[in-house]
Amino acid sequence: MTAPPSEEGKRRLLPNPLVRLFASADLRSVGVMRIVLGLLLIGDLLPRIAHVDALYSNDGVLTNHYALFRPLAPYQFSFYFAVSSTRDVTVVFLLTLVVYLLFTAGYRTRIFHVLSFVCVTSLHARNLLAELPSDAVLHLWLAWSFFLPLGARFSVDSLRKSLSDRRETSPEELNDRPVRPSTFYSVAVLGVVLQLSSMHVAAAIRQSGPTWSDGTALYYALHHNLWASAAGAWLGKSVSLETMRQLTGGYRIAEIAIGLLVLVPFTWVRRASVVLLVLFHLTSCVLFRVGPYDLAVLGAAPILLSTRDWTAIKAWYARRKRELVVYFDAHCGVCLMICRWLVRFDALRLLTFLANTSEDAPAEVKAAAAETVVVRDEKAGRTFTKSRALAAILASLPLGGLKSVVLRMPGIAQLADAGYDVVARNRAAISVWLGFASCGVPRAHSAAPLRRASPWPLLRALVVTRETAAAGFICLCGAALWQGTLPEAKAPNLAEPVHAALSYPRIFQKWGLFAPDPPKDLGVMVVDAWNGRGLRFDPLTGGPPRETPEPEPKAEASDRPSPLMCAYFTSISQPSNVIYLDGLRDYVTRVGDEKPPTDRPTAYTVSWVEVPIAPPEGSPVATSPSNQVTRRRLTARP
Amino acid sequence: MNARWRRAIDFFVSRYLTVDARSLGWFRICFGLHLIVNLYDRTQGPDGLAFYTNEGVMPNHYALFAPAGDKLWSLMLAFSTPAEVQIAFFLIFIVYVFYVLGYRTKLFQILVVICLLSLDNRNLHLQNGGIVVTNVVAIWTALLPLGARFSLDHLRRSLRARVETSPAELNDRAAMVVSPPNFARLAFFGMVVNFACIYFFNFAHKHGVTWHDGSAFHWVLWQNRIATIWAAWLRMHEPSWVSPVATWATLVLEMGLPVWLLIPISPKWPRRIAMLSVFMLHAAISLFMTLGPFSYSMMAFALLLLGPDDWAFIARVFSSKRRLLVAYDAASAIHHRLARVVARLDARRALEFADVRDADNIALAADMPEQREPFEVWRRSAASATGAEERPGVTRLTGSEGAAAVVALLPLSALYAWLLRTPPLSQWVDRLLRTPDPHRGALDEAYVETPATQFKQRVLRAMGEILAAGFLLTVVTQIAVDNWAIPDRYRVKRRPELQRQLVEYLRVPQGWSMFSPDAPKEDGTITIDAVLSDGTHIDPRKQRPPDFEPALHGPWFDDQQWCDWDLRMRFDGNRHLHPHFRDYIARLDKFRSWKQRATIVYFDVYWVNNAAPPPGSTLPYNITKQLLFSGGIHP
Repeated sequence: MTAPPSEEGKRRLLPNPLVRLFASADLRSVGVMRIVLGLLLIGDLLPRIAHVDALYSNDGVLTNHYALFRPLAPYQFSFYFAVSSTRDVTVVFLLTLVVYLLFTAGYRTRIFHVLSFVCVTSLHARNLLAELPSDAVLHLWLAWSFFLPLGARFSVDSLRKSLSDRRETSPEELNDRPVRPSTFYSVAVLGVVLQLSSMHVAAAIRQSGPTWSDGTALYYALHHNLWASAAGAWLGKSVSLETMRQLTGGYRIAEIAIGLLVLVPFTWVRRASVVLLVLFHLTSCVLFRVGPYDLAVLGAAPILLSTRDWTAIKAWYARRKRELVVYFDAHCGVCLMICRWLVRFDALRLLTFLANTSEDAPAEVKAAAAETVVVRDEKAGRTFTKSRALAAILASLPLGGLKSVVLRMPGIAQLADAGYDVVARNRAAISVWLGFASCGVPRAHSAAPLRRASPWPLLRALVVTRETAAAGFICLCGAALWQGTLPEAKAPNLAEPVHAALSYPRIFQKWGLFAPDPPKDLGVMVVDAWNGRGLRFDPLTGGPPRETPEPEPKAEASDRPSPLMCAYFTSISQPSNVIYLDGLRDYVTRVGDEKPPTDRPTAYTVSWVEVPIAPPEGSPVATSPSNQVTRRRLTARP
Repeated sequence: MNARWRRAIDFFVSRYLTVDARSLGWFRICFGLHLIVNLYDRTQGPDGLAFYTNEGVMPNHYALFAPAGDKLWSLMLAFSTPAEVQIAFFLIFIVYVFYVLGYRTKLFQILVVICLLSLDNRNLHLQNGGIVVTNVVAIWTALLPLGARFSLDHLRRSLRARVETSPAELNDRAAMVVSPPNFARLAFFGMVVNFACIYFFNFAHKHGVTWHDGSAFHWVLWQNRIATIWAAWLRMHEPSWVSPVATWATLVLEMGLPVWLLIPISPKWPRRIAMLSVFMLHAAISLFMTLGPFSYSMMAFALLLLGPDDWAFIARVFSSKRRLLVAYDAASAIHHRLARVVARLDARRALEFADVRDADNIALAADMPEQREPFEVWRRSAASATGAEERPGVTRLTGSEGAAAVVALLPLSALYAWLLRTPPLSQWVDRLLRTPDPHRGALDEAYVETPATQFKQRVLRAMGEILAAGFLLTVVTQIAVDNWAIPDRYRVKRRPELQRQLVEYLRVPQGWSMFSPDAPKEDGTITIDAVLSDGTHIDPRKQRPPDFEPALHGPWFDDQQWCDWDLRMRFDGNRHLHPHFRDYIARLDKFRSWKQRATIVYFDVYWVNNAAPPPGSTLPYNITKQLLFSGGIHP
């Protein structure tokens, strides 16, 4: 439901201060959350397109039939299993991208929300060997937001609804903008906040290994060849052990602080929690290469913005924009339509609309108004016409600055002027063509359709159903959190239906990067192949086979495998996944066979090469050898 | 362009491209219902579990590992367990229901194609000509405006386009039809050409002895795999003339149909003859043979051939003899809105509307001084009804009784009219119709198509025509590839790869040769001899003692899916399917349908073959059995 709750629902919820404090969200925050989630989905999908053949098609490391024959997890569902070849999978990827784009734009939000959820869970379940920590986070936010009116603001849906509900016919009506209700009450809001809190606190609880206790966890994490970014590696080498210990302690304290602060529903505490949350995860994002995990956690952060925050943002933003008066041809249907659109984008209420025949209009406006729209900046006493007027309007709209600059660029401005003239000359014909009124020609349909409160108790039933479902989902997530946070020996066995409900959408709650301890070994997948000319090479990288996982001094950042491939290599090197090694062998063979005949590998060995990370100097365990390379043979041909 | 060319083009368009809007709507309803029945057929009894889940004969991973066709794809392959597959079937059912109702018809036409192809591709070993024909019909008609009439879409369009403001306007039903009376579409021409080819090549390929000597029908009757109970009766009482007549009639009908479909004369009578031929041929086939959706899909196509004269005739036949005067409070928005919907559903034009406050217009109630209700229904009748106020010859019904009387005259009213007489709905309707509406007089404005929307429609139509032309070209090429009746030098040997792939993706092969060149003279089935833990022998699929002389006890009443599956199991090329079939048989004693107390220990699976009795005889002979494979632990 994209509509705010009914009047009756609001009356019932409003008096309760607990509901106001803990279960309310600003609709604009919810709208921004949709856009952020949509962008995260797109950001999650696009890097995977580069790996369609390797990870998601039958040309890759895990064919669909083998993934179904030997499922990596019980209750696994993915419609990506329905297609096999790289080309077919690419088509499904593109369809998924279209779904994500429409969800981000808020077009038929409820439908594309459900489709986005099905798409993202299917995509991630297609190859669980390449599962990233961000996957469960994205699934969770999409699941939680089922209970929120994501399309109520900043969406195509809200625009269409507004245009349909309120059909202004004059400049006066354009300037009369009723205040819309902007608060949404639901137990789901509390659920999202609890989820945000619990994922941080649970992460700190799970990070309970020896390295977190002795303060070396970040040292090991930042020295890892697969998971540390270039900035993280630099930091790992640059700071002293004492500083590293302080950072490690600070990391856990920050997690707990975020977890607690987001629960406090007072404006300044919430603002502090948002700042801390963003800073913490952006820093983590810069230091580690674990996919979009940190950004995904931030996906729900917009819901923490309260109505007061929006008022403050609006006031701050409005000060940086100009107030304008727009003089337009009020008898021109298409002009009126454009102004109706502008009203809806003018969230800062900086535009005032007047008819160009208005008696209040200055003389210079009256002189030019017959030919063009005229925009006046009364404070500066400046007048804009044609494309300059459009640019000025765009500059006054939120996020319109860049578009405004483009319109002012030499060349484009002249083109826009010419285009404007053509449209202005033919505006009567265009109005008729689009079905709008124009210079005495009545419009085809003008009155807003009758909308009235439904006599049915359906709406109330839907609200009750939604709240009950949200409460049930809180319980489900609570059970998952309980199971995921306790040590494995103490974790309870969940009932089969609960397990299924968590497994199909993969909304498990094992939180915390590098929990309970970061890996203490560097690792790398090495394919040691010989071609017909007796040369050794690695078909996956094209270069010579690596002897050690330690990063080479001259290595480029682009030489490193992507987080997705890192996740796959780490998973496939586990002894428990040995039954999936045939897929890797077939893939390496296929990659090799694509080379010219003389360069094709005649034989190769796929190994997982490990070397312990040297303990930090001054650490009590610094005596263990640091350069002992272990080579574990995974598969080979012949 | 001179007048001669213009006339030729007009004739071509009216003869080959034009289809009545009502035929499109009626086709959609019938084809959709056929698809729902087909969905039930696919899942009834053990079939859903056996053919579409990983507990069955073809797990999804094996269907992908050893695909039975090129370019195999199916959303059904994503579902593994019985519970998952049940959800998938339910979703498909929902799609079919919306298709029948004509809600967002174009979207659901596309979804229907996706569902059909997904079902087909999930287990391609079950595919037969009937399933291919169903695919062909669904794909061609996806390019036709099936929601033009008898649909929720048309109802919504009509309500938006024509906003009646008084009861009198509701009596002008013709103005409520907002779709064009007919549509000229290339897709319809393509479909007609495709079906003409289906019949022609089915005829052309039947050049064997059995078709010449008239015995083909007799041999088909003795195919126990596909014979129905009517075939079983007829073959035992078969006069010598029946088979030749039926055989040659089949040939005549199949030969004649391409002619009637394509002959360049006025379409009225050729289409009627073609429709009649299709119904005769396929009604007979479905009477005597179980071929899955084949006959019904072919008959569904024939519905598209109904022309305006046929619809006029149908309207005359089915027009209602009963007339009701519906008097309602025209100032009440809710009453008027309901009346607008009901008027559009009144296909038999049995209702006349009037304002309940306008006594002059209610001739029937002229002498009735009693207090008026906001909703009254007047009927010239001597019959009494509960709660009805009467005077000689006239009955007045109010509230839910009146609503029920009105609804009873709407199409398919038997399905839902009783609801209005059943509490609590009847009480709710009473309250709704007797309570004054607080929103008096508020009505929407009529929606008028703008030049922009008309332009958009023209663009969409042009795109549809381009798709239809591309598909027609692909189908024609495929016909020239697949049919061996075409002399070799005219057969297409090379074609663009895209066309081949399109045929594979959409599963529309075009080789048409049912019972060709000869009707089969042999028959067979699978008999399983399983030893249970208590030592008894049983056929675990049928849960009765194994029958090694099944030909003497036919027909076997297997459905189309088991017919085709069993038949394919005997071929050497399908030996790779035996292990999963074996696993399925071994699992049978774990299913809820298992009625025995003992469990399966060991089993042999045989193909039992027989020769059908020649004309004049009723005793199958030469019954042989061939061990296909065994399973379990040999005792």
